[in-house]
Amino acid sequence: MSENPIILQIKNLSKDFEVKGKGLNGKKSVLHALKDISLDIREGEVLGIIGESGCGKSTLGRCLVGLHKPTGGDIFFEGKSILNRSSKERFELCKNIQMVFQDPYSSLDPRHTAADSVAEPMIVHKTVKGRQELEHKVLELFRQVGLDIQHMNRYPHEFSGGQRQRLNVARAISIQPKVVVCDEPVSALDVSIQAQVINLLKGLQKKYHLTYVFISHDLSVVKYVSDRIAIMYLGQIVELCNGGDIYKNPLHPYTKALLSAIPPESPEENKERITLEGEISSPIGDREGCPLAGRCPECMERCKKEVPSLLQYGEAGHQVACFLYENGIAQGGK
Amino acid sequence: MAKVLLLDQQSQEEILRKERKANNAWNKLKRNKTAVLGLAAVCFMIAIAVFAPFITDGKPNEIHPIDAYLTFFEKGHIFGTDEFGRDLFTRICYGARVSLLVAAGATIVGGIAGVLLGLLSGYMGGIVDAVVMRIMDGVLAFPFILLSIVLMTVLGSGMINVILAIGIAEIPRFARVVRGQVLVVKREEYCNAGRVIGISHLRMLFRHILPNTISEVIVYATLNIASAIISESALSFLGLGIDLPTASWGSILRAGRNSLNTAPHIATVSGVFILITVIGFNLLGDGIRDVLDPKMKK
Repeated sequence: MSENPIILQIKNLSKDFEVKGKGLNGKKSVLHALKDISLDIREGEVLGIIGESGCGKSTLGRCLVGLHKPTGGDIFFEGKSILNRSSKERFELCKNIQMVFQDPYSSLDPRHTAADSVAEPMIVHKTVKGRQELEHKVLELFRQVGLDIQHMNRYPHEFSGGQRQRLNVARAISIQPKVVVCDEPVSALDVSIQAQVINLLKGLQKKYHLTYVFISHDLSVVKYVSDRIAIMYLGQIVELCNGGDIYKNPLHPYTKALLSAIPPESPEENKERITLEGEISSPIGDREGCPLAGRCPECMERCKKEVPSLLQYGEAGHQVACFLYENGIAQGGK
Repeated sequence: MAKVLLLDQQSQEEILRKERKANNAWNKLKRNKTAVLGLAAVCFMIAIAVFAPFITDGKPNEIHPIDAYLTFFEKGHIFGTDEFGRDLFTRICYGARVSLLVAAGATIVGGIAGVLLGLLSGYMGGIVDAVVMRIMDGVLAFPFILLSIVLMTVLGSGMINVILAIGIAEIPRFARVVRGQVLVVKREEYCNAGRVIGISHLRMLFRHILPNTISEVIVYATLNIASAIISESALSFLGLGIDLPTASWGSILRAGRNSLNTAPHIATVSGVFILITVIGFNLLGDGIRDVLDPKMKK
C-alpha cells in the first residue's frame, strides 16, 4: 500500500471540548477528546481505527468530515488543508469526503422516502441533470447496495436496520467520494447483518477504489476489513500497524491487553489474560505522561512524566508509542 | 448479494405504483374517518359563507322591530330573530364570511410569521435567538386585548386590520412552539448527515427541519382558529373590530349574551356554529398531521 500517494494527512490534530461544571457557578473544565494525533491515510487503503468507548475515535471521524472543528493541528486532503476554507471550497470538499453514520435509525430523515434520501446528495451537488437521469441513478445505487426498486417510496421506519445502513451507504457513495469515513457502521446491527454490510462495503471499496477510515470497537470486524490498524487510547494513537500484525506481533501493553480480552477459540486453549488494573482515567483536565501510565503493568517512572511519541519499531509500517521500545529502535539502528 | 427478490421488473413496478397510490396524501386523508368528518364540517361552513346570498334573502341587516326575539321556526325564521328582529339564519350565514376569513386569515398571518421567526431563532441560536425571543417575550407580556386595541388604534378598523391585529398578537406563540421543536430537531443525526453532504442552510431549514416540526404547528394552528374567532368578537364588542351592524359569529354571540334569559336561542345558535367549526378544524388538523407523518399509516 505504501506506494500509493497520501490522500488524507492528519497533523497534530487536537480537539478539546469545554465541559460545564456542576451547579450554577460550576467551573468550566476542558475535555481532551483528541490529543496531538498524526496519521497518514493512503489512497485506496482501509485504515481501521479501534479503541474503547470514549477514546475519541468518533470525534476523529467527525473532525475529518467537518462536523467538529478541531482546536489544534490540521488536516490535509490531497495536500491542501481542509480547515479554514471558504464555504464554497468546503462545499466542494464534501464531495470527496463522505460518512456512513453509526446509528442507522437516526441518520435518515424520517420524513424523506428512501429515494429522496439517496437522491439528495446528487441534487445538492448537481452531479446529475434532469429528473430522468436522477431516477436512473438512484435505481442504480439501490441495486448496488442490494435494495430493490419496490423499496424506493418507503420511509426509513419501514426498513430494517441493515436496509437502512444500506441506504446510508448508497447516500455516501452517490456523489463518488474519494474517502468514506465509516463511523462504527455495523455496531448497531445483528451479527448476521454485520457480515452483509461489511461485505457490501468491501465490494464497493474494490469497485470504486475508495479509501475508508473504518472506525469500530470490534477487533474482528476491523481486522477483517483493514489494511492498517490504528489503536487509540484516551485521545491518542498508541499503536499503528499493518492489518495482520496486530495479532501476530502486538507491541503496546494496551494492545496486548485488548487482544487477550478476546475469548479463546477452544476451551482447552490456555490463554494468558492480561488485565489492566483500575478504571480508564478521565479525559477531563490536564494529564501528565503516558495515557496508560496508571494502569500499565509495565509502567516505569518515566511513563508518569513524559508522553511517548509514535515511533517506528521492527517491521516497516509498525509504529508504537511506548518507552519500552525506544531502546529497541536504537538497537535496530532505526 | 442474496437479497435479490424473485419478483420481475413488472410486478416490482406494480408494487411501487400501488404504494405511491396508497401514500398519496388525499387517499391517506380519505381513509381517516374523523378527518373526513372534520373536512365535511369545514366545507359546510365555507359553503354557507360562500352561498349566503343564495340560501337567504340577502338582507342580514334589515330590521323588523315587531318581529324581535322570535324563537326557532317562528314566522318562517329557521333560527328565529334577534333583538332587532333580524333573521338569525341570514346573519349566521353572512357572519360566517367574516368569522371564517378572520379566523383563517389571522392564523395564517400569525402562523407564517411565527414559524419563520421560530425557525430562524432556533436554527441560528446565539444572539439572533436571544434578540428574537426577547422581543417575542415582550409581545407576550402584553395582555392580548390591550395589544389588539393598540394595533387597531394604529391600523384603524376594517377586516384586513382585524386579521393583522389578531395575527400579530399570535406570532409569539407560534414562534415559541416552533423554536422549541427546532432546537430538538437540529441536533438530530440526520441533520448532521445533511451537513456532511454540504446542504445549504435554506435546504436544511425547509427540507429537513420544517417538515419535522410541522406536526406541532398544525395542532397549534387548529386550536388557534377557535381563539381567533373569539378574539374577533371581543374586538367587535369593543367597537374596534368589524363595524356594526356587519354580522360576525362573535358579535352575534356577544349580543345574545345580553338576552340569555329571555331569548337563549341567539347565543345558542351562534355558539353551536362556532363549536362545529372549531371541532371541524381540529379534526381536519389532526388528520392532516397524520397524513404528513409517514409513521402514521393504517
